[in-house]
Amino acid sequence: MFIINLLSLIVPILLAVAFLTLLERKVLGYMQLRKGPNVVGPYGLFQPFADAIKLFTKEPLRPMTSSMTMFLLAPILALSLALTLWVPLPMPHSLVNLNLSLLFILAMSSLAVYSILWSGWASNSNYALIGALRAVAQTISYEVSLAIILLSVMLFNGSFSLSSLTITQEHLWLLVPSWPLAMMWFISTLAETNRAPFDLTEGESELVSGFNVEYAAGPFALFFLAEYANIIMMNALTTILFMGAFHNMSVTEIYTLNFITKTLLLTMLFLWVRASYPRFRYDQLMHLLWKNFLPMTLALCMWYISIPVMLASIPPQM
Amino acid sequence: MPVIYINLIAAFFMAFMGLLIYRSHLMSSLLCLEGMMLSLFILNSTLALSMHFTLYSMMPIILLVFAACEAALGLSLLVMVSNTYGLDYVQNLNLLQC
Amino acid sequence: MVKFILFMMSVLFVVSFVGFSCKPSPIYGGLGLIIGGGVGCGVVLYFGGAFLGLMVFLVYLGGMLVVFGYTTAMATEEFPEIWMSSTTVMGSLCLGLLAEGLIVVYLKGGDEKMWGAESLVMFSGEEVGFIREDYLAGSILYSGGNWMLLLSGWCLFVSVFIVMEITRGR
Repeated sequence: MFIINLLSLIVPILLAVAFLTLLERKVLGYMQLRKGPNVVGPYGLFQPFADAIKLFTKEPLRPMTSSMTMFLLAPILALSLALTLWVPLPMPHSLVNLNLSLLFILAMSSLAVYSILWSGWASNSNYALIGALRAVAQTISYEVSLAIILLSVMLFNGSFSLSSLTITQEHLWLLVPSWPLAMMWFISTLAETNRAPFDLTEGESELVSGFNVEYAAGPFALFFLAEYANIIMMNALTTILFMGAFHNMSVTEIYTLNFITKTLLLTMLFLWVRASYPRFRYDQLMHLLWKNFLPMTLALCMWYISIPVMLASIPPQM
Repeated sequence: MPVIYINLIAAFFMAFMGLLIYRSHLMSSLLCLEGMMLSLFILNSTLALSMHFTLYSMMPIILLVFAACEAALGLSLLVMVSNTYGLDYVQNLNLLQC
Repeated sequence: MVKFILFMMSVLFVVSFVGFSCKPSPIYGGLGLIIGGGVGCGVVLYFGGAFLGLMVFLVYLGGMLVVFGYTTAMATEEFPEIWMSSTTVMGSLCLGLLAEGLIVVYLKGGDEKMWGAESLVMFSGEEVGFIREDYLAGSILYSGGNWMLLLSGWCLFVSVFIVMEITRGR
């Protein structure tokens, strides 16, 4: 029974990832006044499957000088961590209902750094190593601001569990009382998932493709899947944290529809941002975090600690 | 739970032995030091949880803070050594007193 | 079954410790330590300490070890030493594994009392079921252990200055 539950979580995620790649190419295409993929199937609908078949039937590349164990371990780790992150998300019922789900998500997403680091180091190429070092520095820096923002949200929420966020937001989205935090959260998720305008790790003009230059075929597909699964997961988390959907105990489908619509809109926003903004410079990226976001989030965290104490109000209890 | 504790203590001593080996990188020695802290953390928290020492259960967190201090100091020493000697081999530390 | 899984996890913990303490190339040592950290977190979770386990995962693996890994990745070597590549590493690995094997044989074959019911002392009575002890850790830090909190905060503060002093001008 548990296997069926697990598969019914994993298979839709992978399908969503497949169609997200198509959607991205289509949206970017129409934003640049061209058509995007439109040959395979009606409106290019079968393009992701064609891509998957092509990628998984190619011969995987194994460079002579790479460290083979880590080279093969890294993509597996990336995809399995990206799928593990979906486990505690309430949609409205989660696969495993964890009490400490926010801590769990933070811990797992910090582990995802290792897959990037190891893949870059093990492929024994300068481009890959520089890309990996950039990616790691960027990701662990932005994780700090993500953690502090999550802490403030937890102070509203009163617990570490994601499912109680729906009760917190029954009357008002958390986006409203904490909009500066929500904006910083959104930008930090862009940087955390290495998306444009923060995609310095795979800056095509200078680093070819960053940490995954040496990867081809299957392992590359695993990295790709992990990246897009992370994007959808981060948007789902944003929806749960700041734009909680209405949860009626008897009609749970409404929650799911509401939640998915918001997640899709946020994902579209990610694509729109990619089409609109040029890439940041690396020092600007770091200054944005350490000189702007970190002081502001720390100050706001103090503010949100003192507000409930001052007003003698307690967060909702389960 | 004596069976587990014997293994945890064995892990601590393995890391300790590794620290004493006079070989290769300073970084490896720092990793062994981290491993000692980790095994102490696991030992402390399992002890507090299985014996229900309520007051003692804050101890692992305090230990974690000290481990963070120790890691920062070790890494700064590593930076200094690798900047002075160019390498971080422990054998170099005896060559010249800087 | 629970005891067996727990025991196997602790054995894996020791094996990963042997893995990094025979000092291969630091990045492989880091791999060993990360596996050890994950397994150790699992051991703590088995004892019912979800908060402490996730805490060690977050602070240790997410915070400190990433910095370690970052540092090791900077030091690229021509031929990184793996566990099989030199006799010293291989020998110390074998020695460590042998010691752990002896411990396991001793424990499994020896005292039957250690595997009895009293060795698995986790009082999960109903009367204390709603008090999460690992959550208490945080609150005790602010009530009974406030002097410890002050001490550790002071330590962190001082260590920042020491680090700045050591790495100054480099």
